[in-house]
Amino acid sequence: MKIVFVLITALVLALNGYPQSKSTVFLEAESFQNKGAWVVDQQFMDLMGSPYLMAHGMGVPVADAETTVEFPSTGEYNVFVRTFNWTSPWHKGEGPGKFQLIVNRQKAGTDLGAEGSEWLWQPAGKVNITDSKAIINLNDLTGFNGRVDAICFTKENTPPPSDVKALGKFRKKHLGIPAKPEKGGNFDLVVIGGGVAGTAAAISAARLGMQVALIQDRPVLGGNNSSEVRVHLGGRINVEPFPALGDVIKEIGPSRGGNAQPAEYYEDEKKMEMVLAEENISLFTNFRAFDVKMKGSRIAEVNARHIETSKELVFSAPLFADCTGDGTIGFLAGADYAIGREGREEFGEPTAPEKADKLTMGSSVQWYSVEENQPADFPVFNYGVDFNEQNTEKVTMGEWTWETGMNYDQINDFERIRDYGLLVVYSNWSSLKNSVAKEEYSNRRLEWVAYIAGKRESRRLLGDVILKEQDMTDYVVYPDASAPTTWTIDLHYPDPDNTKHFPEKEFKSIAVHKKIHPYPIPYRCFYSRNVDNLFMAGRNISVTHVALGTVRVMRTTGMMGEVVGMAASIAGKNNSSPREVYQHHLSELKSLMEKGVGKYDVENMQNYNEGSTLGPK
Amino acid sequence: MASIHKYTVLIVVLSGMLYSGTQPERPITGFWAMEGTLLTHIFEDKTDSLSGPELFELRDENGIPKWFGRHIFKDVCISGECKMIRLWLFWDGAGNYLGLQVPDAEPLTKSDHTEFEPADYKKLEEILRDTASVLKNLKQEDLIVVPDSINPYQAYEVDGYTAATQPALSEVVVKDAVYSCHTLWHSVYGPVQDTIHQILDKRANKEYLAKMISCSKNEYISWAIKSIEKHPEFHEAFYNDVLKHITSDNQELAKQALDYFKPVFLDDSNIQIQLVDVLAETDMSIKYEILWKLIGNGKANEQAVLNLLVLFNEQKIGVGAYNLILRLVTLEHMQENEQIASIIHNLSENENRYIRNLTIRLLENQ
Ligand SMILES: Cc1cc2nc3c(=O)[nH]c(=O)nc-3n(C[C@H](O)[C@H](O)[C@H](O)COP(=O)(O)OP(=O)(O)OC[C@H]3O[C@@H](n4cnc5c(N)ncnc54)[C@H](O)[C@@H]3O)c2cc1C
Repeated sequence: MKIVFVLITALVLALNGYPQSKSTVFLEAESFQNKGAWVVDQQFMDLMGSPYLMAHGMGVPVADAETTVEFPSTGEYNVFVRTFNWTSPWHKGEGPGKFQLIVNRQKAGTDLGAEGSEWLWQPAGKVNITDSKAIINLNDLTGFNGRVDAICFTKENTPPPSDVKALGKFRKKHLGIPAKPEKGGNFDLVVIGGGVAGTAAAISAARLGMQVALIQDRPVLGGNNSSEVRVHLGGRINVEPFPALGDVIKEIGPSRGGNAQPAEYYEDEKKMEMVLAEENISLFTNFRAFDVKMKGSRIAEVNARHIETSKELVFSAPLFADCTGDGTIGFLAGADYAIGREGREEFGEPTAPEKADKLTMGSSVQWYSVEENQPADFPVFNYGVDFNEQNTEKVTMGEWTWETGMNYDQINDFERIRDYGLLVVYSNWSSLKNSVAKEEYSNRRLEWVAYIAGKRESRRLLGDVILKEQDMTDYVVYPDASAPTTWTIDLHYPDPDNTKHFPEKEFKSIAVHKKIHPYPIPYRCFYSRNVDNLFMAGRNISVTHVALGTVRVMRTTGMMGEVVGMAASIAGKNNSSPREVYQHHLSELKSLMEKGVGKYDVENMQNYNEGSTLGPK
Repeated sequence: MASIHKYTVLIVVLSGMLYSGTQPERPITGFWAMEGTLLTHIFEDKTDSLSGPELFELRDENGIPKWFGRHIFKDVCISGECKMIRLWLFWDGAGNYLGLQVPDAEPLTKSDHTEFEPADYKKLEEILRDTASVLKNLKQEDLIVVPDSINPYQAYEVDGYTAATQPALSEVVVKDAVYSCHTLWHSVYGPVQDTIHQILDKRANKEYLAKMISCSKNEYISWAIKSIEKHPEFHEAFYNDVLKHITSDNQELAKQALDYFKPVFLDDSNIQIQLVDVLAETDMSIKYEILWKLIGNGKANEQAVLNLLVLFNEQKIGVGAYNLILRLVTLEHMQENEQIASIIHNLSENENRYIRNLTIRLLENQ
């Protein structure tokens, strides 16, 4: 009986669509039917509670988003819009992200998005609803990243809660999201994060016969190597001691190198179709994992939410792979992790600082401009960081060296870090276009600025081995040697020149390199030491900050994914844990690594950006 | 008249060592022992008057230069102390550095007054051959050698690219001969080379270009391609020759030949078709570059598309390039060309799921 009752409730809720209360209509911006040219930004939903719509027009107002909403009753409603002034950390006055809310073709309240120093419910006046349906538009006024999380029409006098947790409950209630999420399925392996590591892990496991769910919080695969971030693959594949590792990267990798290039360079469709060609993979794009359910020290389920519809799905499996880059799944599951730089005494690393600190490598908002045949204007943009003749970067593009937030928390301050990336790109460009290089830049137009920030470093989940600098420099090869790391130990620091002009507000970096011999990473870096069924691949594996300097490049993270897929297939077959694969099935893993999981006879176009090396040991 | 390099030409037939001018003295071996017709260009080099005003050129029977040579007599100064160096420098018929000859009696010396060893000459050759040497942007006063104790590899470097930007100077010069290296590098890549380029530029007519582009020397072919680029009026006459070099075994030349074909040239469907024709015979990276060029042009010719699909079917192009080929296929192609439609149809039923899916996606999106 109980089961039936639950089923009926779920059915009623599902049929209702928005089972709004009589007096309140809650509208998620990201679920607008027509988003115009507003973009969906899910990057900070764990922090501020939801994906949102953003007017990323690079200084040119974007086309309206529009949706039709059903109202339970006519009458006068108070309107509140959740937004804020994203430049507030640097600039005290009104911000640049202005937009209007239009209800049935009439502007509601004042201009929005230009005030408030954190996400808040900004009042947007009152509207009189005379029909059961209303057309709502978001009308961008500036093209400078105005943002809208949600809109609330209410006959009450108070806005929805501001506290993220309370707001979460409010959302669920008003959107009619079932308390118990729908089943996403039962799989052999659930891979979370569809960057190069996660994509390769899913393909590898699927080719070895596992039923795999791949959960990715964007519409495209590839992570930093997608057309949304535009970082080219680095490092070497197909090298000793396992020259078959990298065959998947050879298949999915773009044929052309270059950071911050036009979108088509990154061949999104190749990665997508390679995954869709695997019958054993169920791909869930636009789903972001946000919660886990534990059974003792094992993950039993992962919950994910759709970034546009808010639909929630629950995935169960005996094995999970955290390829989120941020170690989010491990973090939610209580896995041990490290963040920042270890002190020298901890591992005795020559390159480590004397004392541990929280410094990480930063995140990048890459950009480029194009030359037009006629002058192209750019609005004056000056929001608290002053650019002048001395400090303006006279460049036409910004790639990896445009790096921010090394002194900030790459998880909890991430929105601010990304926003500072946007702010400096616009401010510098405005300075070039409107004052210091007017003539020279007159026909230049800002063509692309990333809004999905490229991240290099955050949490590193700890495994049975934590890879350190001397393992590579002294060439200490472990019995479970696996995917080789070949890139230099490449660590980034704020650019001293940039510090001179922007102390504590740096946005450019330098890299310091130490060459190594190709070094096979121990398999034990690829599973959690205290969450018993969790693998990891990507930049969130078990390494020190210094060792991350080499392993983080994507041909290497991709090969980690291949190994994790192989290990998962062995664990699945033997009903064992990732650790037991090391303890009891290492030779099996080795023979899979020798064989590889390549499927197609593709040409190796992966010879760009291989990085310098000391050569084979 | 603004130019400081003016030249006039004297022609003398050189046969073995019969010719011997007054100044300066010429070696009897090496470059000077080669057969050909000798020309003397007189030019004024105010920055280096001691070396003399003659720039010699030796031509073969077709009028193609074998070399240009100049006598160098210059002082090299370190902290106020100067010594003279004497040698011959040679460039090829495209203006590239070719070699040097030092009089037996006057070997080059180092700052400790010892003579250059054979290994030092070898190193010097390497330095002079390097068009992008770090010496290029250094002035005499910047020549400070970093002591060995500093790790030259700990240079700041670009995360995407591997070239060190500021390696210690000692790594790239002949030990104890930094100033000589610097002086000679700038002699090779200075006014004399500019003069050679000017002389050659003046020769860029149809007849001369035809000889250069079909000769056996890659450097000369490369010069010819550059000249044709500078003179669009010769495009029509020579683009077929340039095309042929895309299949060159020499990677650099193949790349240069391909780069010659700017996106606008691909508006000519003939060129598109011919690029696809050579594609099958090219090295893999050139193959992909051709595809990218066609994508860059934005409007692929029907025949070119068909030929590509045929090559793909014949497995002369790998699976990794299939998504790029499909970027070129339009609805129009499929509607107007039955063969394209039929190949695409078959590929949409291909047993390889990746190929099949990509093709179906194309059909869905049209
Ligand atoms: C500007 C820049 C330049 C760089 N240069 C190079 C270079 O030249 N070559 C090179 O190889 N590397 C380079 N790197 C480093 C490399 O891109 C990173 O280390 C990268 O993070 C490694 O990729 P990954 O495989 O771990 O996956 P990532 O690319 O980090 O992908 C993780 C994926 O998981 C998704 N995700 C995250 N959380 C969730 C969740 N909760 N639910 C669902 N999905 C989620 C993300 O959207 C993302 O798509 C650079 C990085 C930057 C930022």
